[in-house]
Amino acid sequence: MANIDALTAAHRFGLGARLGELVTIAPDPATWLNAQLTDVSSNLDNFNLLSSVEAVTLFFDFQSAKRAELNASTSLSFATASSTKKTDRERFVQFVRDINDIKRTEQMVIHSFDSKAVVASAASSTSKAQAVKTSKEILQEMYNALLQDVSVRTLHATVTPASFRERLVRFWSDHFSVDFNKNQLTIPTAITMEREAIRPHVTGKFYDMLVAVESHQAMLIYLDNWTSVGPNSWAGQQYGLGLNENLARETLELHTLGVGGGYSQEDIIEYAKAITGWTMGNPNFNEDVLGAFVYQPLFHEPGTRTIMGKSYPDTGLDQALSALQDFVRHPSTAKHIARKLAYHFHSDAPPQSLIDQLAQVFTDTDGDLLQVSLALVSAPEMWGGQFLKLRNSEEFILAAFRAFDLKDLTAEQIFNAFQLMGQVPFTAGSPAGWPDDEASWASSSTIAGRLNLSVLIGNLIENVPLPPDYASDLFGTNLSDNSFQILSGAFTKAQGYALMLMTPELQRR
Amino acid sequence: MITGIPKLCLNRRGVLKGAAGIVGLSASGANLAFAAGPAGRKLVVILLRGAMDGLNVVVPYYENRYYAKRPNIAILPPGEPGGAIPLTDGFGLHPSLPGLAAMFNKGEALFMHAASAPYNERSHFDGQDVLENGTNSPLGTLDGWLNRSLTALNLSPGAVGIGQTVPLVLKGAANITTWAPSKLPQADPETVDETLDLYSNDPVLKAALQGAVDVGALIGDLNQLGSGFEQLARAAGKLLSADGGPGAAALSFNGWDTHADETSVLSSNLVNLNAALLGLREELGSQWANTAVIMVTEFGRTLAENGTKGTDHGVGGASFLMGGAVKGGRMVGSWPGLAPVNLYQGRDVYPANDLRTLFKGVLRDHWGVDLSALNTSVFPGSAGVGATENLVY
Repeated sequence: MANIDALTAAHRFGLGARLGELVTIAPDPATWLNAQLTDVSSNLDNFNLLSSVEAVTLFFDFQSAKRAELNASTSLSFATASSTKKTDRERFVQFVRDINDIKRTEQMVIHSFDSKAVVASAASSTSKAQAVKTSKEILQEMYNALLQDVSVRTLHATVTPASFRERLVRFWSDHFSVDFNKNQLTIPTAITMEREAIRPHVTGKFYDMLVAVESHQAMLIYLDNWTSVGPNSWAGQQYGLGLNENLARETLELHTLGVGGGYSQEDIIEYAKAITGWTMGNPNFNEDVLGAFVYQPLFHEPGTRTIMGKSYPDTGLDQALSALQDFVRHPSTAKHIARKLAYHFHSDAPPQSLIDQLAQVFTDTDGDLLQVSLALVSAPEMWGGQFLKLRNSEEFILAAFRAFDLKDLTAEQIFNAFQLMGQVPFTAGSPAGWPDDEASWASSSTIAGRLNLSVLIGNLIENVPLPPDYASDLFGTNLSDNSFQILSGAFTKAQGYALMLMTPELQRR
Repeated sequence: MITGIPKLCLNRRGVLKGAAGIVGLSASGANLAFAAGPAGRKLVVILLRGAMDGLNVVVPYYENRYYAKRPNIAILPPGEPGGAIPLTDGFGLHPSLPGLAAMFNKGEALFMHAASAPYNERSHFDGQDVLENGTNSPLGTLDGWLNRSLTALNLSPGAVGIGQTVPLVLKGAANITTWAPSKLPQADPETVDETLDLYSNDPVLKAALQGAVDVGALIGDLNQLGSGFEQLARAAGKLLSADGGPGAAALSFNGWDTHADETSVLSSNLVNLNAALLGLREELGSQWANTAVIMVTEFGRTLAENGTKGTDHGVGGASFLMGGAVKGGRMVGSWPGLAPVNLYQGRDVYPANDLRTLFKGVLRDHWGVDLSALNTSVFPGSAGVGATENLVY
């Protein structure tokens, strides 16, 4: 029988136990967790998913195709994306026009998502020697890429033995939340950031993750920095664009120091000016590196910036990098990160001693996330005690999928499960990410929805141990007598498996 | 953000077979202890997201400039084929809204043209935030004016958000509930009971599940109420008219951003809107007489059509007030006209009427919200913005 420490490792640190997993954890739970921080890579490199550059390029292909179709159907002539032999001024006029032409995704994604067309486009994408693709076909490819990415990410979390590492990936991904529903450009790009900027650094330096995120196309698009220009830059002297402080504000308020962390509105504007020029190759500027991050001096606000009392001379790209380094070392950042970690992994009321310890390690190691994660594992506050934290809906789905090894679901089924539970990955709708408190997830609609989904899943399950035995395997000594008796008295096995997913032992971690 | 009705694909390949049940678990209710609305009065707020083209919905057909600037997409005057339905004062209603026109001509609807929240910058998201937070800036507050008006009443009548997400207008300190349509088969009653037993030592989860069961018992299965926006509107009507139901509902109808091919997109949306408004009235039944429905959008659209037979983001737009409690059959507010000198920045209908005057008039005279609360807590810093008189009985 698994001990309480194995349960803690699997459920509080990890994404929930798989059948038989507790037995393998029980001999040394801490070592099981720590090994995931040093031994296991999970960059999802082998699934042939779109890179951010490919994703951005796909969007510009879409925009170009859409224009060509409009030109063919009207007598009006829209300029196409071609930028050869143009002056900077002509490029800029077209750049502004292109930006204004990016459509918001007003309707829910799934409505414009035709699953039959996905099958068709997936089949046809292998033969590239076909006629020019229509904008509709390219849009479908964009949705298809998104769907495949959600599916791969979810199935990996379902089967991985390194579920603590996957939890950490999700924690940091949510800390740097991006939303694919912002507009058509974010549909294929938003989800690439986790693979390219989060996963490689999840046990690396916080500074490296921060720079990778703030310079990632998904973040630059989501928080509008790719079109932000300094008022006194060359581009600022043209008509059409100005300074956008969106990314600067969230970098300070959400990503580093936190609300009330010691910066002012003036500091936000100064930092916003420092990151002008952080953009990406597009059909009008830097088209030779289409879709890749670039520093564009024509957009950059010239001059020294003063942020929180410190001067940063105009050294181009390095100006904001120096500021980011100082943000990481600011005491407010260590406290902010430590509190979020403790709140997420411990409970809605984490002990101050745990927060202090994590902040101390963050400060002492200059934001070494391996050391911070190891400190979380070694913190005595994390072990023993009750399983109080209510799983959010993605965690509920993953715990259910892991419990029953549901690794054969289709991408559409996975996406719809998230949608039915109200938590499609990368749609938090706010740069602050998903709520992490019990009140937000213990609503009537959420719990009733989980029950309905559990009933559906319960009907899928066959050829496994009876419900009370199954629950004993997953929850060990934490399985209450009440739950054991109710599972033992289930009318059918299907009902018993549904009830098992609804037990407080699975709903909480 | 994903809103609207989820499409069920879970069983499309027969992999997940569901047991259909009968308990109405589809509804949610975090707090079912609704007080009766002020004097039993019901309030519905409909948010038309994407910026509805006010000029093609409430059509100023006597304005030559309207036709001059919209050679391809204008709605013809009454009497012409596909022409507007005549209202009053030289305005007509889009022909796809016969139900709303009938309400107007029966005295149960009034319209305010050239209206806008105090925001003229033409960004959808910021415009919606200002419309819903009741201030004059996108980040003015993080909660909404409808929620704050609940707090301003001594006894909150309660409110329900229809849809998967709570609209900003309804967010805030006052307790609200949510209901969203569900395409999942419902759990059978025995399994629901067993699950409640699982929570004998978990009061939070028990209360949550019990709340869903209670709403199901209160209003039955709301999933049989049609589809699309009509389903949401009917669900709102059914919830509001139920014994012990809430006093207010808020719901969103997306997709009004008609940059291209406006004629067909707008017409299709309006057909759905017309059906939804009639469905809302039908489900409210006798409560319709006690109801006011505020229907607004974040801003209007350009006077001139663009190169893709659509219109771009503008400022002044059309807004609507309907219900048995409304002194209808008329246009309210001022109309600046379409003369070039009267346009906003030479291109948009001038925002002559602050939407807060409409909101305040309804909240004060329909719900009895104190004017000083309206000027301070509900619409902070709005003492200089009056309340429109005489909107409701």
